[in-house]
Amino acid sequence: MVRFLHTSDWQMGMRAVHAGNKSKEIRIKRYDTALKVISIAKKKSVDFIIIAGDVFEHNDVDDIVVKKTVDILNQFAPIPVFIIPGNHDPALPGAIWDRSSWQRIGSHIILLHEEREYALGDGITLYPCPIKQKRSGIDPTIWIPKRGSEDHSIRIGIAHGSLDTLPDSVNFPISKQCAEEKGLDYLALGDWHSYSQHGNTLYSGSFEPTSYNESDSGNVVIVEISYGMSPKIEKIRCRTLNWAEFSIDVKDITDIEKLDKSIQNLGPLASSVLRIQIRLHLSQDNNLITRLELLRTELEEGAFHLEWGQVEEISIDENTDMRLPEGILHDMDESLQNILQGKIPQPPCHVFAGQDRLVVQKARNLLLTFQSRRGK
Amino acid sequence: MIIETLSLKNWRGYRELHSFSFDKGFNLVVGRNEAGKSTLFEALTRVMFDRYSSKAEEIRKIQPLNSSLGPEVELIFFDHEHRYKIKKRFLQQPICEFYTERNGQWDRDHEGDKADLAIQKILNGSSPTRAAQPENRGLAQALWYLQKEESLPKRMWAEGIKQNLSGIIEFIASRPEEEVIEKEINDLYETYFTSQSGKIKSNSELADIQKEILKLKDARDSLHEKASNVEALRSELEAFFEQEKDKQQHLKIAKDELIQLQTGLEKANRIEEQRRLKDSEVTQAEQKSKSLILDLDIIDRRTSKINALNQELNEAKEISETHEANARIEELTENKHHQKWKNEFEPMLKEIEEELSLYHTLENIAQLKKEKEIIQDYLSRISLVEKEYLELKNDHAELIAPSRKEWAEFDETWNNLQISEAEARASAIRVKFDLELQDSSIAVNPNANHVNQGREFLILAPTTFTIENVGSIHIRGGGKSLEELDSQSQTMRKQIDDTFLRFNTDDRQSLSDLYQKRIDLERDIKERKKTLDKLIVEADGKNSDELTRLNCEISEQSPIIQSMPDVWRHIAGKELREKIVRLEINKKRLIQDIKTEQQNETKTREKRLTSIQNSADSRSIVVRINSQIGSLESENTELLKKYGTRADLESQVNKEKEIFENLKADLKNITSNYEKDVEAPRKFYKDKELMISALQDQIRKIDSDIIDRRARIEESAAQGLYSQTSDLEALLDVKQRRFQSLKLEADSIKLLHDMFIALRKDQSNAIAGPVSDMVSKWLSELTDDTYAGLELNEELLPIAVQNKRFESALPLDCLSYGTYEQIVVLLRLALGVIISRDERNLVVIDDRLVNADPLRMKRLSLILQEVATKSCQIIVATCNDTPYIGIHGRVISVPADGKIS
Repeated sequence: MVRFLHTSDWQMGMRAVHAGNKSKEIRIKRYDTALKVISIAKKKSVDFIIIAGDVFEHNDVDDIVVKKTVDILNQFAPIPVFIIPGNHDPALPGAIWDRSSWQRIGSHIILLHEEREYALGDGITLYPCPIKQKRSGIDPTIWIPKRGSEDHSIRIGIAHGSLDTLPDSVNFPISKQCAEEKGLDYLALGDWHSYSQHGNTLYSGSFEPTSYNESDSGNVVIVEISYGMSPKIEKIRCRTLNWAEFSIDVKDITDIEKLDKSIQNLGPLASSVLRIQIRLHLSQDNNLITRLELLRTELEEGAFHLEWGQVEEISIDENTDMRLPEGILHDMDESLQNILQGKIPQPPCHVFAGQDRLVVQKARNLLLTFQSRRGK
Repeated sequence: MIIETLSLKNWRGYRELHSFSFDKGFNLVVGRNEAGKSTLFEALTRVMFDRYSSKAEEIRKIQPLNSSLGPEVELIFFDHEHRYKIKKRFLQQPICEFYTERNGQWDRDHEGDKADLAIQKILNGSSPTRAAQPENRGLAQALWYLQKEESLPKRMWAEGIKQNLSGIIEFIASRPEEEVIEKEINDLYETYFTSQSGKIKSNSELADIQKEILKLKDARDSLHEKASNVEALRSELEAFFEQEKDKQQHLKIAKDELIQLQTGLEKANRIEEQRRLKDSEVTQAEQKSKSLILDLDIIDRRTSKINALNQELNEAKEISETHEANARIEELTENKHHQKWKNEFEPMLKEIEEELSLYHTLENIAQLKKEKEIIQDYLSRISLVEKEYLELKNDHAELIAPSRKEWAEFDETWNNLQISEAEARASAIRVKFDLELQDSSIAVNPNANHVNQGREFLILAPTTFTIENVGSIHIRGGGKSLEELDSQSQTMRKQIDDTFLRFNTDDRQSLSDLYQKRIDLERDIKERKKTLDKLIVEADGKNSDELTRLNCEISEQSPIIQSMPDVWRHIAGKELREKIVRLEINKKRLIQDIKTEQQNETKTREKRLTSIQNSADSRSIVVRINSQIGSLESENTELLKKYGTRADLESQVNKEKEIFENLKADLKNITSNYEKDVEAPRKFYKDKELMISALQDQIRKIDSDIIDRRARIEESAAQGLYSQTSDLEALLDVKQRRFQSLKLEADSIKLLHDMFIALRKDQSNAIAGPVSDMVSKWLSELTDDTYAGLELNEELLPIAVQNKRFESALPLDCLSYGTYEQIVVLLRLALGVIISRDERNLVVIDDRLVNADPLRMKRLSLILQEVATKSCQIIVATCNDTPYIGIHGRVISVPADGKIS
């Protein structure tokens, strides 16, 4: 029986541009998560660790990132750590693996950069599929030999690419039949950032989310294999930050409360990376805006990072004070509506017929917002 | 706003309180010039628009003349259904009170500055400052047409006018809340754009973000460039790795091939070794053979040399003998020449010379004798002249006569004496005694002589004549000059006398003769000397010594000719000369012959010596050749010691040649396939080694490049470019999104703003329509359709009128001043009408229609009546009320109607 920890896509040094001015802190948080993985590995007394590619975001990441990662990996000692290069950190000349800072890794860190069997002893053989270029349409696992009839070892494949069950699987495509055809007990995959299992083939996903649209990232997997038996899989959450994206229509205060609740369910606000897009439907409810602004303030102050987008959607009721008075304002609104509908407004506003639609919509929203404020 | 009552006191001409009430319709303020009509309007404007605390000069001017009292004014007016009262006092304890009527009572709402503000608010003017500026009066700028003011503003009405005019639309629309939204639009607009130019404000967040984005983009591009440099390095590195891999493969192949070539090389080396050894043997045999051949050759050459030298020796000997023979012949010839000149020619020459010597001696003696005669002649002549000379000199020495100098002195003295005596006589006193006594003696003291036969005495000095038996006569004298003259004369006389005495003469003539004689003698002496000298010169050394010498020579040479035959001794003259000449010719010829023979002898001698030298040279050559022959023969003997004889040596040479040929043949056999068995394998092996070396060099170079690229990549990584780029891009993303958001808002608010302005402008134009229409209608009525339409610009200012006669509009400045004024009045009336739709407003026309003709005035009156009845309170000020007779309204006489009794 062998027990090991499977992780991948650490993406150390990731840019996180979409995290705005928190990108640097998000990078730093990944070191914390990596330390968590160490404690999980030790706590679970694993025999070894597999990192299935993309330890680093890019071969150009800062040297300090490499040094820090090396330092963390060294802390796994004495547990062996088997690493394959991924498409973000392929084993190209001048890659991270060539750097002097990487050469300081401990002897327990083994970079599997060749397509050849790696016998661990105790009847365990690793079949690494290191990535040596950024893009390829070739299945990196094709070299793995099939299990021989007398081979009773535990065969573990390590690869990085797109399982052909996944959408857009064009870069390093991997057959979903690989494990079965090659007689692998387990195929540890990297590249997909969310946890995903397909028989004995498994994506551990990134140990820490990297963007908003990952369904289940921030995990590591503990795998137990005995010869002839299906592997036992335990997914352990280890993320430090919770990324979430919300796009909602706010028509009344309950919508806001629902949003608030959803955010609370993510976990501690200080660990939440949020992208919230609000379509505010202005109405009679004066408390609506107030509550929304209050929530925004709370999130801005409390969340790890907040990206807030708000668009006012104006719905005008005949009986409300949202109607614009007769005169210039009314004429303006009428002209704006005509433009939005693709019509040319009456002079003198016909000159504005070619305005950008977004601008016109925003102008109308502003006008109606002013009117709504005046009504109060 | 309309006014009800205006009261003023201490205001220019209105020293006492005057109060004027006004009708809400038409009011005609009548008064003569300087009555105070305009003063009323001044008070009206100042009470409404001037700060009560103002102490400006123009405020001080409203004080009555010589008064320091504060001007006071009170106004009661209506505005928006409220009745207000304003009280103001300027300068002296200024006050300002604002009252509102409520329930029939006046409530004082404000005082001081607050009262001023309250007034301003009502009338929409500027902050109370200077009423004198029409643009500060709000609506009143449009409605009050006062004296001393421009007919129309230059550019536009004050903003308040337009606002008020625009407010009409608001009124129409009944939406004052538009202002709030307009303000929101403007406020938000002005956060982005400047109100003047509509450009983005340089200090706005949008502009700032734009600049930031540009900077960030520049920084990002710079980092990208660095990143692409790293990428390029990585590409190069990859290429280098590929190259290295390729080179390693080639190297491996090359090394394998090298191993395969090793066998061939070894075989080649063996063959080469054999060849080398054989070659060595061949070389040795060749050397040995060569050595023997060389020795043989040396011996043969020496032998040939010896033979040649022997030949030379014989030739040299022969030459030597020839030269010796020649020398002997030359010696004989030389002796022959010597004998000839020595023994034959020289004696002959001697004979001739002896004869010639004798003839020369003879000739010489003749010559000497001739010379002797000449000398003798000279000597006698010289002697004679010399004798004469000496005689004359002797005579001269003996002659006692004055010299030239003495004669000159004497002559001068004589002349001076004559002059002096003449002067004395001329000035002297002459005394003559004419006595009857005969022979009376007369003694004179000092003695004086009779000067002439008349027995006159010349008195030169004080003189006493003593006449015997008579007495004495004392004459004082002729004066001092006479004394001097006399003295001088006496002195000169004495000199003369001394001279005579010396030369033993008595008179001048005798002395002169002596002198002349001396002169003649001296002349003769001179001539003789001259002649003597001339002779001596001619003699030219011919003197007695010379004569003596000649005699000696003659004596010496005479014996020589004694040996001559007598016949010869008597040859002389020409014959002698001819003989001499002939002998000399013979001598010359003989000398020449001797010289020739001597030269021949010399030449022959030289030839002989040359032959001797040549013979000696030849002998030395012989010696040398003998020596060489000996040396060569001994060398040959020495060389042949090794071999025996020459034949032995020759035999050895042939033997060695044979051995050499055999070895060569063996060598040839070995090297028959040399190129294939040795050179080719070696070349292939060497080429392969070179290729391997080149590959290794290339690999080293590539490795060096790899190390370099790696180092540079690492260096870039150490700079933290990746994280810098990430952070920069994140920040840029934030900024760009913010910019997009702000830009959207800015564009949208600009759209709203521009739309609002366009619609507002449209409204303005809408306002202009009614105003223009109204004025045009009145204008047409006023001018009897001459001018049918008035054009207004956007600022509601008239710019042109339509005239039916002309197709295009007439600018206003083409009109007469009167018509222009009338149009302005109509415009203000029209504005008043439009503004007064809600409530009446006051229109003031302060004597502005003076240029209207009666017909126009009549028509204007109708218009005024209409406006006053329907729309506005009108106050017209005039000096002449006649044109306004037809108008119903109040007539206010100024100042009378205002007096408070």
